Amino acid sequence: MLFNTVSYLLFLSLSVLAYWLMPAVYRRWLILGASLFFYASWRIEFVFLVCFSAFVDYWFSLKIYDAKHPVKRKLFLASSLSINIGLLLYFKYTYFILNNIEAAGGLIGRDWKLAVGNIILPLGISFYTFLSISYTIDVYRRLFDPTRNFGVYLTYVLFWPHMIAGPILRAHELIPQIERTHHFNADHMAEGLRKILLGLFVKVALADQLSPLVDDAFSIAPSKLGGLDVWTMAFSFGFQIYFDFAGYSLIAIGSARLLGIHFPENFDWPYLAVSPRDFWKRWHITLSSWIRDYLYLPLGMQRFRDSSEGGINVDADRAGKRLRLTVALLLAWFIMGLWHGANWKFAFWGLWHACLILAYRICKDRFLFISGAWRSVAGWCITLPLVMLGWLPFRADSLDHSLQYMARVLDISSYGGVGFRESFYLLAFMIMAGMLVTRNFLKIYENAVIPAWMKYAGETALFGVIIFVDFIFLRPVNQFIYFQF
Amino acid sequence: MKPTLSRIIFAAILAFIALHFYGQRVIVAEEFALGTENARKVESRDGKEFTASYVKNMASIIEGIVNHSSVSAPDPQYLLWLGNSQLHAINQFRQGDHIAPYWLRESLACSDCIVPLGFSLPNANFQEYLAISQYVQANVPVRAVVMELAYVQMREDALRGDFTPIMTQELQGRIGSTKIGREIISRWEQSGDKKSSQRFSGLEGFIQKRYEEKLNSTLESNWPLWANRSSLYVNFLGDLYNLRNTVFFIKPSTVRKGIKSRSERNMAALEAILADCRRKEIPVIVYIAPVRQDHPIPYDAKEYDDWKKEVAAASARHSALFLNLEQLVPPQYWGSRDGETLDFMHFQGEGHKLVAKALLPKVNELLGKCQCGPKGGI
Repeated sequence: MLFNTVSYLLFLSLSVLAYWLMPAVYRRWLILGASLFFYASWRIEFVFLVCFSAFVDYWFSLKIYDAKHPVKRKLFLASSLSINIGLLLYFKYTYFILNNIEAAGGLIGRDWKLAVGNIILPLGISFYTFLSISYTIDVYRRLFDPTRNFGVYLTYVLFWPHMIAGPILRAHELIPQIERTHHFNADHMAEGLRKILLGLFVKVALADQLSPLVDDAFSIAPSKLGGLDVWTMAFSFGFQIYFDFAGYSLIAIGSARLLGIHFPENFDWPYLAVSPRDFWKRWHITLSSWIRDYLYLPLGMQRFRDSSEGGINVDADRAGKRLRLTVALLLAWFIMGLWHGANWKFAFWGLWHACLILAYRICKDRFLFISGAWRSVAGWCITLPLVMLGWLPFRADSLDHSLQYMARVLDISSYGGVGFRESFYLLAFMIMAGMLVTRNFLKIYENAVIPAWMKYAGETALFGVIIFVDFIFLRPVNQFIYFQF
Repeated sequence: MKPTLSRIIFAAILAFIALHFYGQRVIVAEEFALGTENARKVESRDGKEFTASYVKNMASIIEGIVNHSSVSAPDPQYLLWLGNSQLHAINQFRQGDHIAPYWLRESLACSDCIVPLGFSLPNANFQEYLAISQYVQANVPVRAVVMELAYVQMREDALRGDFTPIMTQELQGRIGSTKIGREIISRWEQSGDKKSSQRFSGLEGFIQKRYEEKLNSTLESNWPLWANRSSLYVNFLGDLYNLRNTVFFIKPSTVRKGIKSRSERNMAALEAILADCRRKEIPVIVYIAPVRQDHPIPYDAKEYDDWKKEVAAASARHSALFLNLEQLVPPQYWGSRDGETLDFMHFQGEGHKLVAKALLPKVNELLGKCQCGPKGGI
């Protein structure tokens, strides 16, 4: 079910109403039923797949927990991971693998074309696979005792606000909240509603309005574009994906809050990051934290953090450790890139970010002579354009196009003309300026001494405008970008 | 400050009151685009339309012709006249005013022998001309083509979402028979404009689409404010557009620079039309659209001159007849968009007569005179 629809708002309202009216003992079943309905609103047949996948992990987790012998525990873990990753590989990467086999065969003059039927990618498979993997590994690590109630576990996996596209929560963060009895709290309701309204605004009024402009721009062959055009496209898509995903996350967090459940924030003004590492503490925080604890640190043979907050924020002090972490970083980001999509351009995107972080690690201590504030400004001026350029492969049709776009950026002679209407460049500039102004305003506002009535009136007026705009723009013209992952 | 429910509730009340009043100011999208001083005109004869300014209406007309229900003459010759809003809009409309295709038809010796199909779209570009010409030719015997060309059209790009209903595989194949055509189709496939013309496109493949459509339809039937949302949307975008113009001092007289890649695509599309017509031995008249001459024109002078030369050269290459009508309509036949801002594109009813009069001898020359006697008209 798409969040930016009337039917979702009705579904949410009815679910929340029923939740608080119903006796606490039945609430978990209501959430489970609502979540099943939510997922079935896409395609009913894939409900069985996700339930099967959940049961497999539930069963293996109990086996891991009950097993005494370390080899047996490892075997059960490996089996669970194999099934999860196997399903993900099948549904998401079959075509990719076969296309690459065919291409490899073509290189040596062999015909290795293999036909497979039509494979439909189940919605949210990447996300719920990560959820399941983290649960099983946490049980293996003895961080969490597995639940012996399949209903609870299924609710954890299927809980609709986060099931399709995160935030990715750990079992110890969500399962206790599912099991606990919540008491109605008007402030939580207000907080939840605020986030939903803001999320809708960001999605329907910002992301969806940028979408046709960005789609049109990326439909033009790279050779027909100049350097300024490509920069504008990079920034515009960077804004689109941010508004789209942040909007989704806000609605998800807000929806959970209406039920008394707390989700961590998933974005923290990522385009104000002053370094690549800082960016990954602000962008899709729960994913980068997951990568840190289940890929990066284990690959680097380091102690994991066990939290869906914080992002990737690890330094190495010794050379040996540094090398290991470097290899782990490249591998983890390569995998994370491919996780986003079955295409080499996503792997390129992942490695792009890995290289940015590595470059940052190498360079950061050489600029300590610059005072703090200026160092932050300089860091932002360097980080932002590089992060935005990184979005080009994410959005381009292919790796080849991505490289062509990058080449245009480096071609000084291509900066002479413009390929789009003036308003497209202006819009990208105004969004960036707007973001800076808004963030600074909020900082001042938080610390300013303003009469309570004035704050009340101001916030009421602001949300009045947000509701006004949401009402006008609410229409499911576009899915959320991250649904395709 | 902690969020409170009362703030959200008051905010919602304020918002709905504002929406109620905002929605009472109805802006029709098309009127907003044309300006209040311009009126869209559709021409018909014997109850059958022969001009259109929406793709869906073009399709209706073509369907009527195909079903032999459009004209009374046994073997009419169709002249396809392509243009932008200059072709279908009249500034300061008065009773008795008509657009140029009407006057041309009235002036021809036999009004049913030669039927000028005046197909125009607001801000049409030449890529859309290519699509429309292929669409019409696929269904109707076109004896001649007339194209109005305005320099400002070179800044427009790609096919708008309105083309969705007519973009069959067959038509895509016809358009895609040239390199520029293939590029147009490829971009059409990826086009966000095409998506946004489909109301629930984000729900394609979802079971949710069914009940979302039902819910929306129920809300539209029972809640006037919900039914008014498209009008509110137009109002809002219109106000944003005006705000942009105010903040950045953009006026109709502001000089518009060329956009090289768009110009190239449009010129390639024009060449494709000319080449296609030449191959099929369909005579073509290409004319530079009239522009008001009593104020500096909103184009870069050198770019504009170079473009006119390029059009003339393309016409010569493909044996098309080239006319420069930019100075045809005298100042007194122009006006304003909304009572204040100058209108460089749309002239009054008399201007349409002048255009038809300028084209009449050329059309007669290309198509030959009908057997019927001479007629009045312009």
